[in-house]
Amino acid sequence: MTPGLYVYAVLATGARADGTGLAGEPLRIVPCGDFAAAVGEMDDAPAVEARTLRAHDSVVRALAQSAEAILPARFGCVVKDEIALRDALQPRARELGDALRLVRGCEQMTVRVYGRDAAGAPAAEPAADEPMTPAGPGTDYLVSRQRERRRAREVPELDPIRSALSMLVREERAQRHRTPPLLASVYHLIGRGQAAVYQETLTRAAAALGAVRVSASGPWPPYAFTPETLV
Amino acid sequence: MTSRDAAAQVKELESLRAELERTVNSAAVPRWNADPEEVQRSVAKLVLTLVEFLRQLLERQAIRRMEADSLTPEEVEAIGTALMRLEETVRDLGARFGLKPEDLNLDLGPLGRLL
Repeated sequence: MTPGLYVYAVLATGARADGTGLAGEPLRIVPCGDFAAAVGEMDDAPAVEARTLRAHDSVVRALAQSAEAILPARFGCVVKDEIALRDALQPRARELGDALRLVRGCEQMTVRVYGRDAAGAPAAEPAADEPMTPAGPGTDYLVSRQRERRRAREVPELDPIRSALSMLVREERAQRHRTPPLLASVYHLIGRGQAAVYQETLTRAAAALGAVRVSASGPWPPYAFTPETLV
Repeated sequence: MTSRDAAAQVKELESLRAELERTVNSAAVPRWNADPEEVQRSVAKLVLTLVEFLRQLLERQAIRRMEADSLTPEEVEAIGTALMRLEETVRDLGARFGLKPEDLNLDLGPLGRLL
């Protein structure tokens, strides 16, 4: 492959990027309008292996230390040059701006939810609270897809402990899985430095979950709060 | 999103569907292969998988726009219909090659599965 820019994160303008990237390359900042991207020049895309994934994460963590708000890029995000990078980011300026505001001063806890499938899974109820659309089949189709996708992001198994966590959690993302016993992954955005309190609260509250088990890892940079397909 | 964008998206979906029918129906069979039917089937599988990937991407985008109220009811209906017809086409063409919806996926090794 031809040399390119490996993207580590999107930051607010004025951010600094000291140190080196996962291939030992020097990091630098590319200003992109309302944002800045932290990149490193690379000849080849890094291989996908535990070592490089960990290296990516530690570069992102180092960047997060000197930035109030950081949107980590996914592993393996390479663009041709600075122009391609700006072209990719600029059309999504508003979305990225909102996301940067959301993660300011925050980090992420990742909760895996285990249990027997279908135990507390939501039934395929036709969402009675939503008004029936007297529209055509095309609208019906799109609305039913919307409900399906929404359901895929809901984790009612955690409902018994939500109030206990609500003081700590500023935002949640969730994804259901079809690989029992792993039922879902839930990502909580918490204030920096609150991971220990979060763990303690979760452990104490988890007794209310019955057959469902949870285990939390973190703090992580807010990977799950970066808009999809960053570049 | 302007209504011109929405109309353009409907047109794109429709041409994607038409192109798909054309491609799969005329899937040229390389002469050197011992089992032409198997080649045809794997070409169809690949093409249908990629189309399904694009379709899901467009569906997600349409839902986002619907949620953001940037589509008129007519545009929602038009895009929804186009997505629904494209899904039917993918399913019907797949069935002709003995491909079930769950066959339309690609294993990307360590990166997981495409869909």
